[in-house]
Amino acid sequence: MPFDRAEKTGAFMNRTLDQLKDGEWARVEAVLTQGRIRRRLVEMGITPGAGIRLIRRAPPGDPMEIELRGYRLTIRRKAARGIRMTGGGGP
Amino acid sequence: MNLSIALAGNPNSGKTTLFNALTGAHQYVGNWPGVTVERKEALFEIGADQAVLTDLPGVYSLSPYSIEERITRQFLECDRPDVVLNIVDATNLERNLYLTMQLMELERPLVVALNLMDEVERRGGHVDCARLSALLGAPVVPISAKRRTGFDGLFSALIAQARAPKNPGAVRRYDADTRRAVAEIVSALGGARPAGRQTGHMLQSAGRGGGKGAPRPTPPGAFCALQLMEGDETAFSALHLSGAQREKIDRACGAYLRAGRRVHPGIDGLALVAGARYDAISRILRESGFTSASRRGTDISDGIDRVMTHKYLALPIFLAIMGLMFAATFGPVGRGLSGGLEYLINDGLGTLTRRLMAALGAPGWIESLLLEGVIAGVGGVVVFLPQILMIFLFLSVLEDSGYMARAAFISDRALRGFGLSGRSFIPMLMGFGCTTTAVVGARAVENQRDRRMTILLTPFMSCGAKLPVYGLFAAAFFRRGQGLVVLSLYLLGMLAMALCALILRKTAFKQGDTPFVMELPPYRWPSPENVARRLWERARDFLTRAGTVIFAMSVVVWFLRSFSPDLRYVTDSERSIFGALGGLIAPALAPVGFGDWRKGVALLSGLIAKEAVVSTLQVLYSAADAGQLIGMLPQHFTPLGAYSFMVFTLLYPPCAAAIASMRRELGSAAYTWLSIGLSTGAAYAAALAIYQVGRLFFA
Repeated sequence: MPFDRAEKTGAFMNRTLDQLKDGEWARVEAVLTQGRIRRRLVEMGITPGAGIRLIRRAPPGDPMEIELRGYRLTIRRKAARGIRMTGGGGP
Repeated sequence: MNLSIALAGNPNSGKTTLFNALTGAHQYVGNWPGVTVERKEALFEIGADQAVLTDLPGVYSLSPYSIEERITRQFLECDRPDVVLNIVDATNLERNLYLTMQLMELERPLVVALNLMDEVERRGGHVDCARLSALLGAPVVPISAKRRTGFDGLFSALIAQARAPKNPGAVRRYDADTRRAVAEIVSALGGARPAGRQTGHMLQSAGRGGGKGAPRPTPPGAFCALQLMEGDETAFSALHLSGAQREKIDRACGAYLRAGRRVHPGIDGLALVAGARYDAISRILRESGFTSASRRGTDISDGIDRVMTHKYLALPIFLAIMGLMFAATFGPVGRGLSGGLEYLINDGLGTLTRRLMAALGAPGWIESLLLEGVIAGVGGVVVFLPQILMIFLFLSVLEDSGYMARAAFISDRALRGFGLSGRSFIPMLMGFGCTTTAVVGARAVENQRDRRMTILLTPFMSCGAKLPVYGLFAAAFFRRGQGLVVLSLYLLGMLAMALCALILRKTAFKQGDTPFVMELPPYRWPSPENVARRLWERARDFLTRAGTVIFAMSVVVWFLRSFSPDLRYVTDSERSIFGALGGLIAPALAPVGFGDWRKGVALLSGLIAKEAVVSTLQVLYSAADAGQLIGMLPQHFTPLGAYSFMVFTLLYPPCAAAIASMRRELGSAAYTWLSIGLSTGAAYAAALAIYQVGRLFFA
């Protein structure tokens, strides 16, 4: 399967948070986002192993609303791009 | 016994509601020293004892990275309150307990108030509080801050903790690897503890107990150890470790990381320690039989959001809400209320004063001071109270219901281009109502850089008090396209704001993209009590200012308008100090089309209140009423000059009340001057361009 098609169909296990579909659950594998925002993300509960669901994106497609640990959070796509997810996961 | 209690908790946990419920109206509101974060304190009766309750800023964690977190941490460490009261939102227990874990690590006596437990139980959720208390090591008391239930239990828990303090720490609940690393580091540290006051170097100690230079009480070893395990370099340098100590600690941290990486390859200390806290929370919740509420509440909230943040509906709904707010405020309802108040002040109080003066045979200048100075000046501002309260009513309801967070969510993308985030959106919109209140509203912007930038930009949103000026000139010169002309001014203001934002972003506010990580709380019915309290606080604030700053300014303006440079009382304002001053600034304003000294003076008096531009023109051109003034204006202005005058009014510095409020909220004189310079420059440049370029076409 050509690389870009595999990516589009989600055949790769490793995706980043911004690539989830609306309503889809996945589990955090690693938080690679750098800078000051990193600490905030981790402290808000985005730690390896945590389950996250993408709820929806704002009308311009960014930022996005996610659900984790029983509550809702909004983060920007740029920050979500650094959060590596692995398949499966649930509340 | 006199207890000191600190109230700590996440934003949105009901902290303010609990504070108000416990203390009633007797609050002292101030700022934390050196920063613009609000500090509230109040006395309250707790059984037979008295307690001082200090409301700490709402924070998600104790890491010393934001001002609010630093204040909270420093207060807990240096002022050492007798008990820390940690309010926790039971509908969002897992995330809220993260702060609780850190508070436990500090080993100060702690009481956990489980707020909204009634809501969780109504929706079928459950938690065994006794079991949770035992597992956590701190008393957990279910309460409802809104309904004021569970306070008896809360009081006895607070008194018990104060009499026999007990906090076994949080580390005993963490996993074996974390416990081992903490133990090794604590033994390596020995007595070494951070020297000086490293967490709050920019703050002076707040309140009692910790004067400048007072020895800093040592934080518990486990708390320091966890900071080191997080890889916090500032914590390392604050400890002044010996080479041997550093080596031992590095070894312990290395082993901890290796163990963690066997589960999560590549993980770092920060994520490992946070993960350890969250894992402990999950275990505690599981063992205490926590079952979360049914999803019904979330589903309703979700349903609302599917509409409110819908791809195509979000913007029209938002515009409709704003439209309703402005229609109510500036439409018949708000105008009617203001008009009524104006009638009471001018015709009631004014007539009464005039009769009284006549009966007493007071000299003319005293009557003039009271009528034209005080009543016209202070009264002219007070009449705006109903409209300001109306805007605040809407904004409070929007905020309490949770819609504000959604407005930030849908606007974030657009504001990013200007180096801001969605959080700045609402204060800016409030600027259409009143700059003074919008600037205070900017407190909702979490980060200081963004907050300052928001405050600097807000004056460009044309405030409600400028409408009378537009109305006057549009009626006199642009009868056919009045609406269009006023709309063009609003748009021009936003354009100027955008330009200034871009300039600021490239100059004074260069550093840093602000992190935008924001909680989206579920929709809730706003509490009428909270809304009423906030309106009352606004009204009190506003009236206090009207009675002090505005009063003083009105007297000064009256003086300048009524006395000549050699201090003789004059009735012809052209010979007054104002007239002389106007003559001085007239040449500077000639290039923008206001060579007439009266126009300069009108603009000057607009610095007290924008409405004063109209009333000053009326006095200076000796017009009996607004209708006559509209007829007279074309003799003094060309249509181009009139438009240029409106643009200048739109952009030049806001009124004194707004500037005073900006000074307070910016916490910096330099930034306040920057704002004044920015507005003056923008106003002059725009009016000059319009007048000079326009003259080429309409000469």
